[in-house]
Amino acid sequence: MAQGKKRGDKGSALVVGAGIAGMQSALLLAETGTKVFLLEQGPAIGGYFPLLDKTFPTNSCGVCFMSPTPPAFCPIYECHLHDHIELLPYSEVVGVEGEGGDFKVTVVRKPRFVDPKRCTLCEACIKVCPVEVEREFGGGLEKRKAIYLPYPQAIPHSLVIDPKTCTRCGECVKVCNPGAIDLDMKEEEEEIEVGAILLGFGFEPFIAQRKGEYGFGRYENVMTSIQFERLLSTSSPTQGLPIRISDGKKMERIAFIQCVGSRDPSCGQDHCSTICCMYATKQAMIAKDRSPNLGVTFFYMDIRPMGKDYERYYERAKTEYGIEYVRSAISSIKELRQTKNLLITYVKEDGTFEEREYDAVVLSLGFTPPQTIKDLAKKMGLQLTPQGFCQTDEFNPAQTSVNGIFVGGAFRGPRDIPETVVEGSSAAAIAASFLSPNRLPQSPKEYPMEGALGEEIPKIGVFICHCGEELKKNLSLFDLILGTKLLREVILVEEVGLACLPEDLDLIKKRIGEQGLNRIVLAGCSHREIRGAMEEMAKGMGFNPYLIEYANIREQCAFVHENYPKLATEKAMALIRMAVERARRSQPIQKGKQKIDKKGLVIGGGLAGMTASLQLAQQGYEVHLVEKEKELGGNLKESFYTLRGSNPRELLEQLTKQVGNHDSIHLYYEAEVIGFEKNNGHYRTKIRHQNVGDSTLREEKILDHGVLILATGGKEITPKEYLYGEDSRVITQRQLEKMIHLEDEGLKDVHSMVMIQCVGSRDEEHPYCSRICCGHAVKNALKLKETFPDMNIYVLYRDVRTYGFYETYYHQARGKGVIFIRYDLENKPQVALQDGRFRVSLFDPAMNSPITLSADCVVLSTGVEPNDHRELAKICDVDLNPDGFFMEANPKSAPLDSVDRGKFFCGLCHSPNFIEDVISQGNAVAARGAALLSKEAVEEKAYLAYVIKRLCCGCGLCVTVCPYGARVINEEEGKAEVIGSLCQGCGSCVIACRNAASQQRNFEKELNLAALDAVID
Amino acid sequence: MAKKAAVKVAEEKTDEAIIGFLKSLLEKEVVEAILIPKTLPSQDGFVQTLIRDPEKLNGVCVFSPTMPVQSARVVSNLSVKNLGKKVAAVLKACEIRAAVELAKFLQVKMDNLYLIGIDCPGTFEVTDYARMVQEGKGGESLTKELLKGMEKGELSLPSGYSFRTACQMCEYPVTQADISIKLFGYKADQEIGIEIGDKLGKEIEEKGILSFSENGSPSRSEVISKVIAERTKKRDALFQEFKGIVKDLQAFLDRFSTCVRCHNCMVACPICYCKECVFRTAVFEHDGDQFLRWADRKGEIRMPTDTLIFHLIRMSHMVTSCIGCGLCDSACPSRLPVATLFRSVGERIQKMFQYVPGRNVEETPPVASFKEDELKIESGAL
Repeated sequence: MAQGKKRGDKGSALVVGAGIAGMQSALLLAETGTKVFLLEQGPAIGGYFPLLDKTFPTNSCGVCFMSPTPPAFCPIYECHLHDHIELLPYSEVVGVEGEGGDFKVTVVRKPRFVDPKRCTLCEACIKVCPVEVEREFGGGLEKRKAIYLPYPQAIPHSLVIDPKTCTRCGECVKVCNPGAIDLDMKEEEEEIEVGAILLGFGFEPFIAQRKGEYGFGRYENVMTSIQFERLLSTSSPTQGLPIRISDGKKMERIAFIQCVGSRDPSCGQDHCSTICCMYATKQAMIAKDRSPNLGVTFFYMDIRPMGKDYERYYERAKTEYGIEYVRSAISSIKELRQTKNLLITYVKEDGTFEEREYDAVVLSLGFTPPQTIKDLAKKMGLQLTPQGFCQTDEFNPAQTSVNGIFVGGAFRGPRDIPETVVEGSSAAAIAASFLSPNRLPQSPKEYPMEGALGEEIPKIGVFICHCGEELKKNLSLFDLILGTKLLREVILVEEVGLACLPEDLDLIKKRIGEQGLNRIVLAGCSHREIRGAMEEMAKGMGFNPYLIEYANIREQCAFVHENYPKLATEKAMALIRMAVERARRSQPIQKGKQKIDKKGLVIGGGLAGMTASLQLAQQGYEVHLVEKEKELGGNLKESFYTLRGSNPRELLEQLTKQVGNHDSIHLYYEAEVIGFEKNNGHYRTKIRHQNVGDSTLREEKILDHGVLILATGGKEITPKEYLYGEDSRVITQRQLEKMIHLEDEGLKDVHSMVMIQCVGSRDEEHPYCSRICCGHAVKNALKLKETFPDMNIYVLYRDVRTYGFYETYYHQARGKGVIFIRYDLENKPQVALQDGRFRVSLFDPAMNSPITLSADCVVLSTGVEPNDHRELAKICDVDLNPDGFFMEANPKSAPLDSVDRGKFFCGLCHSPNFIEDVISQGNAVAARGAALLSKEAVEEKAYLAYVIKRLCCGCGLCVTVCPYGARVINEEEGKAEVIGSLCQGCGSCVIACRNAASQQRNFEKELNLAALDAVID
Repeated sequence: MAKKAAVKVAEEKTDEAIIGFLKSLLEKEVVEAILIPKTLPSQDGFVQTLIRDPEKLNGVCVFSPTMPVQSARVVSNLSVKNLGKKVAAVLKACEIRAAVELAKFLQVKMDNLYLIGIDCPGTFEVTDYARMVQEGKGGESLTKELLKGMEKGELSLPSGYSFRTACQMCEYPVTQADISIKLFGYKADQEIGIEIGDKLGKEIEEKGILSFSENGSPSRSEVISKVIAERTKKRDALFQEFKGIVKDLQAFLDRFSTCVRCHNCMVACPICYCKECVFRTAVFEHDGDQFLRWADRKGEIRMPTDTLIFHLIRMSHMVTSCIGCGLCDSACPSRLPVATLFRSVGERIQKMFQYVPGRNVEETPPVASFKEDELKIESGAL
């Protein structure tokens, strides 16, 4: 065994699992200045994310929005590049000792057999490797070699050898010029000291073979949803088209079978996997986008699109895309011998059988906890749920059963990406508070002063890297050097072997000094590979890194045109000319900084707002909490027990006490926001509130802050139907909950109760699912059955949406005799009074006939609507969605953030949610806010846009197209301006501007045109 | 709701009836200044004039049958910064539509601006009109003749003269404005119509400037339809003629080979609102050796090199908003049919985005909006 190393300290954190949740936690912690070790068992970080071509409900990728630093870059790269994150890929935790605040973690680094520092990804080894096996990425749809790159953008960007299949023939070693391959590499063990551990283990797909009756593995055209996801990726073997891999036949009709390994106690999976309805719908839509005549049928029990904007997505799938949803149970699937098509026999809702034929069947796999972590969980002492997921306290959802170990994301149960991002953030918040006493300040790296190189006449040095002889095979370096020498202002052309290695970097450094170079062009591999090393070298010697240009003559020339050396060389020459022209005109860039006001303002003192305030305060920030009522609590005051059996009264009491007593939280009651100003990283809000001493006095106050958190809540929709308001025995679930809690006498006389779901949800006025009402009904029904086992309870529903583990309570309720009857929106139940009792009539699809129920009490499961935020939204300059909830920057990856960084939403004003999820959201916004507040100043991006005011006519097109709110019109001047702290350098404004008044640093029009001229020369 | 009034004309002096109305707007302080064309001392042309003193309204020409400049540009200069007082501008239909378009790009501010539109029979080239005056075919006699023609929509022009091509194919003879002066379908020597929009209706009624009634010309809508139909026919015929030219890039560019690069079209165009055109900056300047290298590669290059790219870029900027005033045509020393060419392209692009330029300030121009499903280009589908 190799010698163990010891690193870390009590202030640092270990994140285990680098999927979406893990990356999110790591990035946020790192942003707040915590040293983070990010461990991943596989050879590349990213989890399932890289597999997804597009995501619901936008059908766009959008993951680059996910980073806590301004939305611009992929989180995988952010983790890779962050100064405070150390990646531990291809590693495993083998032991955990100590306790919260002081863990000693033993980590085994598995051998890659390839040294990432030396590997140049020339892929010569892949060509000679004789072993071909199934590629894991995408469920085995394609093949790979024993030495392989997990996927094209993998981080670390390096090959790896799979020891299980490698035959150790040594061919790869022979062809590797840089000597990066070492077949005798051994695993290394090291010990890491950390104060907190965060678990982002994620999930595993259900093993499709366990549902043998669906024929996966036996029938060649039955595929899993993981495979179908891969098939639809534009980089798949079919370029994303729905074509059968088995025989190349174009798919004309496909079927999705839902709940494979979900809601199915027979295979040990009694939970709902929550996201399959949506991901399958997304796949169907993408497939239809690619092949418009494709027929798609879903076989399902209940459709559960209960996230924000998901219901609309589902409606679009049905109406716009013509996707068919058939409520049914699968009886059998048979393969037809000739066509290899599949014949599905299914039982419809009314009990009749039907048959249909499909070209392919996609099994919508549910999710299980990762099977490999059971040992580790035991070592850590974690309590798991019966399903094997991580057990947490309902009111402290990021806290595991072990002090100092936190969790977020799919290891708590199946989750979609927004929730995973929220929980990853939430775990980071709790961990940051936990670590804050022990956190050591991370000092930023210091670099020497830069010379005033931009002023000098360009003296360009061009270094042509042959990537360890690799490029010489396809490019004529001789011609390139000759051609480059002729270019203007180039005073040095030199060939180097491996610019990524310290030897050659030192050589470049030496030449800069000797020759007085003030611009560098590196011709070699992609700038993504080499930029980091070059910039570090440059900064180390006071050379502005933006004076270095890159010409990719490897991937873009030598590799893609390997059979055409002459043309490849010509193209390489053109790229070098282009880079030189850019270098001639490029100027040094000093990144600007925006100072941050280290205070938070939280509007709304309900559960979400109190949680966020407390969390921010615990991390050491001052918080202003503004509440419109006379006291804190909001909707939480109306909650008496939860489905999982916790007591919200205790939560309320504890939270109000903690918030009220915290020195750093300033409270304002009966307050309203009357003004708001934004000024580069500062916000200034004007409020009017009640004077504490004199109850007749209203006071105005101006609050300065760096972060704005909107937690302004929502309310129960007031029903307009079913005799509500006309008869006092028609009540809402909330009223029922209070009656049960107060042991209301009236309940004793109720022999029969009818609950009606979706009252004010999923209809024309509220075209969204309120998410919590199914759980609410099940909760009250179960509670009633405890006290009154003989009470007849009927639940009239459209789809039962008890997602995740709530499914088990639904199952329980059915077991206890609660009767669920389905109805359609077109055919709503009718409630009438007859002889003092209610008669509820509806059509029962299972009996295929109308029925009438008698009831003593009708309970309406009313939906949730946001409070009226139109005025506030206008004042604070944030957007509302058509339903009146606050609109996020990106529903997938920045679910709680406004496009304007620094403003966040949480709680019911964002979307309807259970208490548990609201707490996660409150924590999450605190973490996202703290990532901002923790810095003295925010560093701006380098390639900022700027405005040439002389040319600007203030037409405002740049303001319209800027996706980041970084553009404003200065009304006084009538000219556009750039808010540096918000600009991401995307260049949209440059394109929109008609006379080049909008420009971008080092991408000026003249510079771009010169580069273009050079390339078409 | 717009309010309608019929105004009696005394002694067949239509212009004085209108001027009288405008005067009362100034006198009763509905507005504090009026922008309106005034006849040049030489009598052979007109110039937009900003009038504060009601007495100076004598001698204005509300029917000026030429368009020396696009008044939307004037209105832009006037309103874009610090227009502290209420000003009305008497404009032709295409000028109003251009002003609406400019308002969408914040180049016209409507806050203190009131647009007065007047039915337009068409306009003559400035040089043509000067000649007409010399030949005694202009001035009052022409106005009388045109007004007469507008009653039935049958216009007869002095022989040897025709309206500008853009006017012949203009489908918008009437205006939608804060105040619209209606001539089509009226016996203008006896009566004209005035329609007041919501912005001023109440005030004009309260100040007793007009008395409103629903009575109007019974034949008006029919006459307008007839005029529009004729012009649309002309337009379609011209589009058909130009179809070959706009069908591909090469044919299109060939048509511009006689361009002298004077940029007059850009100066005349109301939609070209840039303060300084990118083609007048250093962006397209090159070194001598660069030109030589290009010439070397192709054997020859046409100089200057940016003539065609100028038209293409200008087109890409203005074509969705082109309201077809045709002043680019009038301004072109090479007599290139720029307006018809750009309208032919614009027509297709505007249709693609279901966009009608100049219709309503509230509409968003295609360039400033993004719809996920717009312009679906067939690709990658089976």
